[in-house]
Amino acid sequence: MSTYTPTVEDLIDKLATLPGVGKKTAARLALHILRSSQDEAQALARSILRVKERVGLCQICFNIAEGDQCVICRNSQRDRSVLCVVEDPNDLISVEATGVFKGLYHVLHGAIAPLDGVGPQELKIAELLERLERDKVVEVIIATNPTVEGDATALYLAKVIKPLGIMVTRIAQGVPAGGDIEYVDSRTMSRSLEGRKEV
Amino acid sequence: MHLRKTDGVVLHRTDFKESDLIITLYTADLGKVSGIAKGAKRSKRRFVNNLQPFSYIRIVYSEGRGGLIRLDEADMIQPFFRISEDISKVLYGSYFLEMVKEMTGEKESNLQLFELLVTFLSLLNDSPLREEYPRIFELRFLDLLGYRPRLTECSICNQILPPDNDAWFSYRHGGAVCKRCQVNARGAIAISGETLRAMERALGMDLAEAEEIRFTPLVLAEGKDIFPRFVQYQLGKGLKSLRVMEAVQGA
Ligand SMILES: [Zn+2]
Ligand SMILES: [Zn+2]
Repeated sequence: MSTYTPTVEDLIDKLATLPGVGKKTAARLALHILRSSQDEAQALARSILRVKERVGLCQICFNIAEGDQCVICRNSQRDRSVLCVVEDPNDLISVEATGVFKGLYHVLHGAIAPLDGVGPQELKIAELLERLERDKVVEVIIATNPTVEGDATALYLAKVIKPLGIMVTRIAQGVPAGGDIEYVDSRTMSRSLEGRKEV
Repeated sequence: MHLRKTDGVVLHRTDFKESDLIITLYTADLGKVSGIAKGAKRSKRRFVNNLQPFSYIRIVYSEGRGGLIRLDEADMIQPFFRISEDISKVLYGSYFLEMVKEMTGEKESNLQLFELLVTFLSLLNDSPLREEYPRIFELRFLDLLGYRPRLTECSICNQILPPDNDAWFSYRHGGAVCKRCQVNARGAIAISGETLRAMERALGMDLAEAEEIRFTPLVLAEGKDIFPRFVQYQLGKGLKSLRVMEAVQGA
């Protein structure tokens, strides 16, 4: 039995579909919206609609963008000879947050996952290859996840990009900083040993 | 809640909600089971990255709701992580996992099938890839599920096939058919006597010999053409991993 009106109940249901939002949180958010002014509520609704109307994918790197190109591709200061390939826009944000990488990106929108039927054609790989042939790229840095799927994607990209005479590298994998060696899985540990450095 | 332990190979994992994973395993004593690993995407401690496909793990679990078990802990027995250092190994390994995932029933245990899977994941992990592996796996797997193809006698008239003669293979009749019956087996395709003999040997040998067995190029070519299709015919639908395999190998 619902204690809310049907309209409030509907809002709670919609909010509860958001990631990380359970029924209780959704109810709290709904009541907050209910108590806010007409202007505030309209501003929120407008923002949601605008995001859907204006934000799409960058026509070059497939990052999230407003307009044809994302802010990174539009920035003339970026080094156009190096591309960092990531699975998702969230991964791009992680790499970008370091401030270390000055090149451009390419977002694949997933990884090769044979068991889920995701092959190269389901990803932005043809677009990447077109880009490599068009632009003067000298290095492709692969920053896919250290999972079976991320590994398969990296191997596939190396196989199709190397014949173009472009250097292909993959970001180092190993024990996370601030991590605990006791909790490191054997896959990660073995790669950490292989990628060790002299101190 | 009653906690139990079992050993199994991770066949598939999929995201569930914000931080959970749903894992499908093939276990030694329960056969195929699916379970939810609460918080597995966030907490690296309890599952320490042990829930990836191919991982052979020991789980602590309890019975959950809706046929799903609840994974409490996962300890690594053998990660088979060398598989993901070679894309062809990933593709073949995924094909094995998908066959098991799609063609076995929930909680129908089959120890021989479990051993078959672990044997072939070990081969992929430890030795150079061989085109013989998927063929041997397909045949032995079908045999264990009761779909063993008939290779020495005609699947229609039961007459022994002359050992050196070519014959036909009929998906519909589940095996080889003789020259006379072939006209009644629409869609049957030509198969050499050599391939039939090699496949019969692959079915009869000890599993430990799988690494040593060698097929001729003719047997490999015919086998690759016929047996993945036979598997899919028995399943009644296409396998995703085979589609991805074609796309990757065509590149
Ligand atoms: Zn862009
Ligand atoms: Zn016959």
